[in-house]
Amino acid sequence: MRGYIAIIRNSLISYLFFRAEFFFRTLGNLLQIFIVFYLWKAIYENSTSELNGLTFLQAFTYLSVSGTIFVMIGTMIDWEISLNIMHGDIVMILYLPLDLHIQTIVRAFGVFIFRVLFSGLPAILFIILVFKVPVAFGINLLFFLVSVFFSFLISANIDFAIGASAFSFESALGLKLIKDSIILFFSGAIVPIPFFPKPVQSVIMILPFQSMYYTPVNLLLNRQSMLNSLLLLCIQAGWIIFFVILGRMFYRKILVKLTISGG
Amino acid sequence: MYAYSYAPHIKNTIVYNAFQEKNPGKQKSRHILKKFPAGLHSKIYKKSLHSIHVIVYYTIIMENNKIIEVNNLKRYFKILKRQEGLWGAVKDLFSRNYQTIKAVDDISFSVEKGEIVGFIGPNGAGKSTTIKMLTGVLKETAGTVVVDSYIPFRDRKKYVANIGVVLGQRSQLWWNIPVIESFKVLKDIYRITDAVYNRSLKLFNDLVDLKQYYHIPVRKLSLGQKTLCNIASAFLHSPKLIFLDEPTIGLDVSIKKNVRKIIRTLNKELDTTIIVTTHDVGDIENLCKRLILIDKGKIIFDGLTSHFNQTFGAYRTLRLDIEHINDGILSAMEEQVNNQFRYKERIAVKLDKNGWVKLTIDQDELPLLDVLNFATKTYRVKDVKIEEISLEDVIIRAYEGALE
Repeated sequence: MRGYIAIIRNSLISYLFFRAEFFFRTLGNLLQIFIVFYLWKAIYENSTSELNGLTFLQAFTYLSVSGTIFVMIGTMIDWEISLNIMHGDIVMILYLPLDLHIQTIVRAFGVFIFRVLFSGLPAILFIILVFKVPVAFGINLLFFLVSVFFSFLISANIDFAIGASAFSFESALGLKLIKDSIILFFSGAIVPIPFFPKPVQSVIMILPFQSMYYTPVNLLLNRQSMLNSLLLLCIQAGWIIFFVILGRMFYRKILVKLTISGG
Repeated sequence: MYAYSYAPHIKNTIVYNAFQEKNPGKQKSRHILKKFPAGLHSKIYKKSLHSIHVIVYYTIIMENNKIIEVNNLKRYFKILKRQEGLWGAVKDLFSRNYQTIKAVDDISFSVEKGEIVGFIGPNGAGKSTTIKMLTGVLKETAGTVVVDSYIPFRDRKKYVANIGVVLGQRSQLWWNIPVIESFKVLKDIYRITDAVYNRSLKLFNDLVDLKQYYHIPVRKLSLGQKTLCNIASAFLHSPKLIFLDEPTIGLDVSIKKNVRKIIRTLNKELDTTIIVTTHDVGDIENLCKRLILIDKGKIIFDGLTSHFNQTFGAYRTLRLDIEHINDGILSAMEEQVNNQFRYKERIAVKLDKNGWVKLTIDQDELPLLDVLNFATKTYRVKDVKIEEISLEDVIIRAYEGALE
């Protein structure tokens, strides 16, 4: 445990080291919010006040908040692991007396904390205050934070499973691209879920990806009963367990096959 | 009679040994194997005889003060046979043309506590693969490895806490943050006590003044400084066993000297067992009492460095200063020497850069003194020098011989 905490700490220090990265990321996030604003303003220009049951402000809030979540929970785990395997640096990680899976997630968690504090939360405050989005400040904020954390865990574990598959494919970059596209499309991070045709919507609701973006946004913006909120969180937790098991299965099987020759 | 507090499985070993004494010949019986702990049991079940070796060896380790025990270790790689050219690369996308490479092919050896053992061999001989199996990141194809009562691959997480690994260019340190922060993380990861941590740092400060690099991020260190920090990071938790894979590659002479000093000191003061692979003759001469030479996945030599010379021929070089030497006399002399003595090959007689006549002879085949006697009788010899062949030349001979 102490070792994992130390890794989080160093991961934070390591990230703070790039001051420029820190400013540009926050700036880039704000720019994206403006892009979303003007894009959807244009879409709503020539139509009635509502599209698919969403007003402009609702659609904009939904998309800008889910865009911010995208910035917060994205990890580079798959990319890092597959690069480490290709270059053989994975052995240095295996030489630590730690679990590779937990260690990897924990490293990403350090970056996640950083992004939530310095990029995510300021952006969400910015959206709420500048665009005057009506949001209730109560228990929903707590649910939102927990839900974002769960989203991070789902995302990190999907990435770990993809990265672990690099053990057998020797590269997971192609798989990562497929995964990123699927997540972007099916999570409703680009197009709000109400905009999809009904049959597609029902497929989306079965898949895990909407629970990464749609659930936290839902918990923040829409009034939910306590029970419903908890239920949504439980569904997220279920997906976490699913992907943890999947990732560990891959990892166990594939570790045996690991081939790194040369020094 | 055995110190079985070292490993929990030892108790079972003794049960097993006792059983074997009472019932010789029944060692493959399945029901007795079920008494072993789950992990071991399944292994025994699959390849019964090999795994039984493992258990028996636990006790041998305790008895003989051994730390590494490797038996009939093999590692084969299945690799895609790539074709040449762009079209070949395209065809490879769908190819199933696999080839088996025997990286390590049936090696056995053991290492005692406190030894410094040098692993040498030409590039691609299987040294690194062996090290990776010893350190638990590669699974063996067949055979057994037992290190300090662990089976490295199976017990990796627990096992690696007891060893330190330095791989030439790779690093355990965090790239972007000051060195000391990486050390602190390692302190927490390995649960190093303050006493041990401070002792390790003090040792390095005394030897190479490591303090000056503490607050510099790793990426800003030079190769040599990085290597020193890498070695320090592998020694922090004062492991019983350290693996060094080409620790002095690309370092300047003075840092090389420091690195060797560190390794010798740790070996002497903390009784650390050290396995080092290297291509550097200086490393071998300065560090290793024992050498293991590997080529094409097989052990060609395993023994004391001082015996290494003799095994690959007790070569001596004879240098003679002869009056009025010229090319004519030289070729005549070569003729005469070869007529006079029977030797496995034609003895080459050459001039060295100082104008001395030079011949190299294997003492086991032909006593050098005979040649010297013959030369002094036949020619007017002013001065004589006899030199032992350098370790470097022996290694070159060994590699070339091994490669034939």
